[in-house]
Amino acid sequence: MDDQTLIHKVAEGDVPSVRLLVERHRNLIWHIIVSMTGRNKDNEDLFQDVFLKIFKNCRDFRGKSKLSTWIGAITHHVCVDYLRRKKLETTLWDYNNDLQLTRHIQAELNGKKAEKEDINRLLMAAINKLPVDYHTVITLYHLEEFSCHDISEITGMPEGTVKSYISRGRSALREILTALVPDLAEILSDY
Amino acid sequence: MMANIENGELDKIIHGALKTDYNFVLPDGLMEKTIKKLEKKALLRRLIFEFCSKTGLVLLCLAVLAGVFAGIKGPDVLVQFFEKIADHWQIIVPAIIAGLFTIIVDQIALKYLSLS
Repeated sequence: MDDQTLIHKVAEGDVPSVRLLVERHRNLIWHIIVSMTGRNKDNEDLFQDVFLKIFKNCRDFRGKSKLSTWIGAITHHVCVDYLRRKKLETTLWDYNNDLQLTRHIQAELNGKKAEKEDINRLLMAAINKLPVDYHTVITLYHLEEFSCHDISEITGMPEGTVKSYISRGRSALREILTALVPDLAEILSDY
Repeated sequence: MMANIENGELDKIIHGALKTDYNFVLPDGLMEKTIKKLEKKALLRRLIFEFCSKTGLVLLCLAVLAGVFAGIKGPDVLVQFFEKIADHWQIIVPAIIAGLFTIIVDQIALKYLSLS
């Protein structure tokens, strides 16, 4: 079933279509929520709020953008509202000065040869320390594989800003890897 | 060496890290809980839509019937009809309310509650 038909049927209150909508877009919504609010006790409520909002507004979907982009934008909006309400906006993270993170990762590796899992944990620790906007853009780009244009539609940021966040995010993560994992070339061959 | 790591390679590593992060895994039961909540809303929306459609259809039929009567017997027949309703409103209004209540309970409330 294509997106337009699906959302049309959901608007009519077709129960099987509602299930299909949740099954198709659950991961996208959850990923955006986690990337924006982190590990949070309210995430499950936010997840349900997003779907209720989609259900309430599904008649507004005109098919001008992809359904996933439209849903992503609603999720982003719900999370921004939540962060504003809870005053959880984070400040820009300067990865070069974050000694705590570096020490933590170095202590974890503690001279041993880094493995694929270590790289993953290290990267996630680094990504989790990034400001909300960077984290969201990186998640949408790398995990959901959205284009810069789609990310721009979802987040409301100009496309140039999205590209710059992706590039700066890459640089930050590259520098962390460079500094902490001397045997990365070997590990890369496993990917 | 690593400073020369290609964007493509780095992207692959980032993708791998995000994909394996347990925080990105949807908690157990959350999807079913959400579906159940949405199904109830969807059912309620459909039941109300059906009820309104059926009520609209009945009212339309009555209006057509009234038009036909008025066409055959003249517009006075409608005036007489409404006068009779006005004379007996104490019986007609509760009867309509009771009828609507029964239909709403039968067509909407019971079906909706059966899903809960």
